[in-house]
Amino acid sequence: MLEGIIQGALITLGYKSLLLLVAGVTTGIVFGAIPGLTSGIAIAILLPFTFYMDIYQSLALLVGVYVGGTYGGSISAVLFGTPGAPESGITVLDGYPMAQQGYPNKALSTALYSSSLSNVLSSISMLFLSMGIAALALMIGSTEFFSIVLFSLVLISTVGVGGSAWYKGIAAVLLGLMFSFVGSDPLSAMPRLNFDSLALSSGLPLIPLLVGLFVGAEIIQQTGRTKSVEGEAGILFGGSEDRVRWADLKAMAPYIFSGAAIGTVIGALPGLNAAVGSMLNYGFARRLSPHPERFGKGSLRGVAAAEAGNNGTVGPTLCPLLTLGIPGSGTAALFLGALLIQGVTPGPTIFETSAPVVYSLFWAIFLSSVIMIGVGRVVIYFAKYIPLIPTQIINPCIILFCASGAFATDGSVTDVFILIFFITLGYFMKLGGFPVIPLLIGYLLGGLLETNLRRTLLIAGGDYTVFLSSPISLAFLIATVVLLAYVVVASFRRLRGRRAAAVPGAAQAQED
Amino acid sequence: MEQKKVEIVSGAFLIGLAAFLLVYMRTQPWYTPHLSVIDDSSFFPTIVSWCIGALGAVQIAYALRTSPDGRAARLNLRGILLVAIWLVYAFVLTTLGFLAASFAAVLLSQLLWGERRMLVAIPVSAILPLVIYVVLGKILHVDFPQGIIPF
Repeated sequence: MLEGIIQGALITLGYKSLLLLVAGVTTGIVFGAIPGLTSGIAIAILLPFTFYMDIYQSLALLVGVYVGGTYGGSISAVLFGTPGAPESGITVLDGYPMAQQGYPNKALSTALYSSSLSNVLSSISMLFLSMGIAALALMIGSTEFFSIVLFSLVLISTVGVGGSAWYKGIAAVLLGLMFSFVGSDPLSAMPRLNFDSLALSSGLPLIPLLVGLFVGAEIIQQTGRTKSVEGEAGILFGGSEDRVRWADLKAMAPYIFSGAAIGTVIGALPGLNAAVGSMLNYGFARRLSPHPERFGKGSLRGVAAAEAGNNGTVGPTLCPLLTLGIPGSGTAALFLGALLIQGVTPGPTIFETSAPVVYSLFWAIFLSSVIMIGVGRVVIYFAKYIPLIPTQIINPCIILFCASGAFATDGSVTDVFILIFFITLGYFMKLGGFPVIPLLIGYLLGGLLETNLRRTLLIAGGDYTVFLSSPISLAFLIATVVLLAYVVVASFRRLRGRRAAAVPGAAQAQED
Repeated sequence: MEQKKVEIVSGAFLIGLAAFLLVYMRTQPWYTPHLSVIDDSSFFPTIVSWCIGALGAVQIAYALRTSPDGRAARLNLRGILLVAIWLVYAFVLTTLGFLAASFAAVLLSQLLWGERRMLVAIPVSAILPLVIYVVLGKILHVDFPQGIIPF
């Protein structure tokens, strides 16, 4: 292990990787700071270009963007009261009041330090958690794997879709599975669902699909909107009190540790995202704080807790991906794409087949957290201008980057058509309230689900009860059924409650 | 469009998609339900299609029973036009070439988005494709179509 850690350090400390980390962190902060753009979009844009790098440089760039983007959202949250990224929604509660009270620099610095420190802790937890899960995962076969993938898909499509209805999340996953079937049968290699197109005979290309859905869902609806935030940021630096002191760091330390701990658990569970980590740690911090009444009114501890909670998920989010090959979030799905185009298939044997990748990933998160302190301090000087970058200029450029990237991966115009198709699909899904992340993950896991089901049945001679005879498989299948039943029943209860509430309302209206 | 209509239309789309897939698969040589699950290439796609159709029906049923609040899902016509611009881009990319097609597409997209300063829009539309062309095309050897521009 120690040897691996040293090897990972030597790889990541190369000047090219360090430069890419700096570039990635800066790009991530800028994308995170602009409402409507996220680190996910930045990763999606850069993904095709990593095809021309080696895997360690590719991961350095993408990790830098991911880490920078998770912090960047706090900039517009603090200065404009508009979260730059969904995970910074909680930061607004205290960051914006702090800025309004004349402490914008202190609020941004608190967010920066708590984000960076929580990230460092999350990189360490990612390493140890991955080792633990990988060791356990080695003991499971295709029977258990099928049940785990099925459970993850249900979890992602029900719990992990926020405001969307459960049936829309599951429909999105199923559409993703359908797209994964295009090309050929994974076991018999029989051509399947390729609509007699030669271009589709090896399946739908990964990059146009990933990039198109992300861009389509996030950018197209903004067409015509020339401002990402309303209003203007006030002063950027207050008086001499507007800075983080040593006493402030000591005050926020417990919330950084709790954020890293909560973020580790939340990040490692498929379907739960950084916003949940931020919300839970904020709630926990309010109970722990000696001054809970200040939360929501400009509390430094509140900003630290919110940012530590969302950044704590950064490393652990990648654990299920690295050790099981199951991406639990949209960003993890993009990282899976990055690994696959470099020829690395993550899974239980990753520490045997590609250990340097995991160690370099650990170092990339660790170092980008450190680099972020330096870059973040500089960016704070320009922070008030970043969310004001004209969207009518940057968004068309993003689409061109995507189209060039889609073309560049295969040198084929067909990939540009596929990109446009998925941009359109992503847009209409967003319009209809369908989440796109479950579709991405369904597409990425479709092959794994089908192969493991059919392989298990092949070994068991077609006997379906084999899935119930393994305790691990049985446990995950029961968990899947319970989760589905819970989600459906809860949805019916809400429906009944809403109708019951609507009746007196209607009666009242008639009386009026 | 009202939210309720959006729910019903998208639910109907899911049912239509499922029906299309089920009918289409039956016409294909790989539709082999007589084989065991292990050998049947159409087993998983068939199950998934049925489930998509069923969820479409569930969505319509929910929409009819709950009457979702009237928050309308606003169709952004400029967004549709933007997608159309890039669809045309894909069609003319080989004929016009990367530089010319990209210049036109980025410029039109900026104008559609609301940029009115031609002194900003034109240089951005010209410089970005050129940078991508040089970096990807000349340094990383991506074979972009040349089209009408002879370099």
